[in-house]
Amino acid sequence: MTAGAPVAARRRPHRWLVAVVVLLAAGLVGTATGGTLALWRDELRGTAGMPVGVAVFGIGAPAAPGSLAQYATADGQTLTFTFGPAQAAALHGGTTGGAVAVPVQVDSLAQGRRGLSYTVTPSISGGIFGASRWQLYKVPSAAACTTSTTGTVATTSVPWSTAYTSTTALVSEYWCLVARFVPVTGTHTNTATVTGTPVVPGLAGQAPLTSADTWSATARQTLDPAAEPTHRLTFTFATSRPGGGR
Amino acid sequence: MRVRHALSLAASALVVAGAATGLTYASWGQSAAVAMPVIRPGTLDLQLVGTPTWTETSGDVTPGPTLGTRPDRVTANHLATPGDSFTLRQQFRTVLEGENVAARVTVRWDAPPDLAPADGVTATYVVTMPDGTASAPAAVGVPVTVPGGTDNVTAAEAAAWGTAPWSVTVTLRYPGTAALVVAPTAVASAPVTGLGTVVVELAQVRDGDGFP
Repeated sequence: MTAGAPVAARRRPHRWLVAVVVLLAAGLVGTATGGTLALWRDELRGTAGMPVGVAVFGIGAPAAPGSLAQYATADGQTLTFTFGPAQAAALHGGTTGGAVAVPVQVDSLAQGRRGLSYTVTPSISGGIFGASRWQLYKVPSAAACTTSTTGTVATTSVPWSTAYTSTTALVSEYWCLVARFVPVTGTHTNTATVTGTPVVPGLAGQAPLTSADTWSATARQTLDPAAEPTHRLTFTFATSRPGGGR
Repeated sequence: MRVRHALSLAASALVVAGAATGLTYASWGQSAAVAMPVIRPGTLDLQLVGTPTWTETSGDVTPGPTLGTRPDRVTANHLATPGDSFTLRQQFRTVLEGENVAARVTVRWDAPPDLAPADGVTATYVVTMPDGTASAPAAVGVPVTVPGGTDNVTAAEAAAWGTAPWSVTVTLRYPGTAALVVAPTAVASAPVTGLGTVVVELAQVRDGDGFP
């Protein structure tokens, strides 16, 4: 409470309102008509406040909660996690290809009676990632994001229900994009056969002659890790009221 | 509040004045017997009734118990978000005793409200008299005097009300659909909707009804 300075007296401190009494006009001397000019007033004063709940939403490479690369500044915003060039060489691997696991952390908080949910939308096209088989998992920790992860395949999450909360602690969730690249290889074999009949003047009935030859080739997909384009995981969040309203 | 402390001085002054003029009217004070003339007592007092009560009135929330306050006893122990609404109610009682005593109640502000977050909250209030008559809703920060017009609260009216209290009821509404999104470092310093320093004043008047 921040009660103002009382003019005369203070009572019941720590209340929303406290009382003071003030003599407004101390014209105590009667006039010729005998009237007293004194006016009294009593007052209660004080203040009150209602704290406001907030929301937090951020994404980035795994780090301490609250220190990720990006945090939203408005409800409904979209944040984009980019990857690709940094992981391309590992994904390309050797002659038999390679695999990578890309971890992403999401921090969130929704105070009061607001819930918070979000969706993840991968956008992967071209390059080695585009030629790979990939899957997006939700995993329990950053450490669980490996190429052999067995997390849940998902694209949505509801870290905060609409149940009232006054906590200030962020919730961190982890996502893991696992990609495997196996070079496309193949062999091709072709056999050509030529048949001809000799024509010898004066000698009829020459037997046909046949000849065949075979050639083969090995085909391999050629991709350059240095030319890997940027790929994206787009995170879009929203808050909601009890009952699903906004 | 009874004006005990000022009374000895006041009574002394009135005695002097009465002696000089032969006639003095006092519309306040405590009983005092003097040789001549007799000064009638008066009392003007505001008394708190109970403590301020925060209540959530959000339409999509099952009404629960009233909200508590933080240790400072004035800040609601709750976090408001868009879609919420609340009332803050404080009851008080007026005491008017004495002949020819009339007064009015005014609610005003010594320090203006700070309705944070900007454009994210509206605050209005009404003053309700013991007989149930309520003032028109006014924006917090705008003074209201009750009764309105030339009407006054008289000692007879106050006596008729008995112990029925007055009340000031503030309504806070948080419209909109978007939560206030902040950086993690700003969570601990989230805004507070401040109602300013409100003053409820019972002031003696000498005009209006009952005064020619």
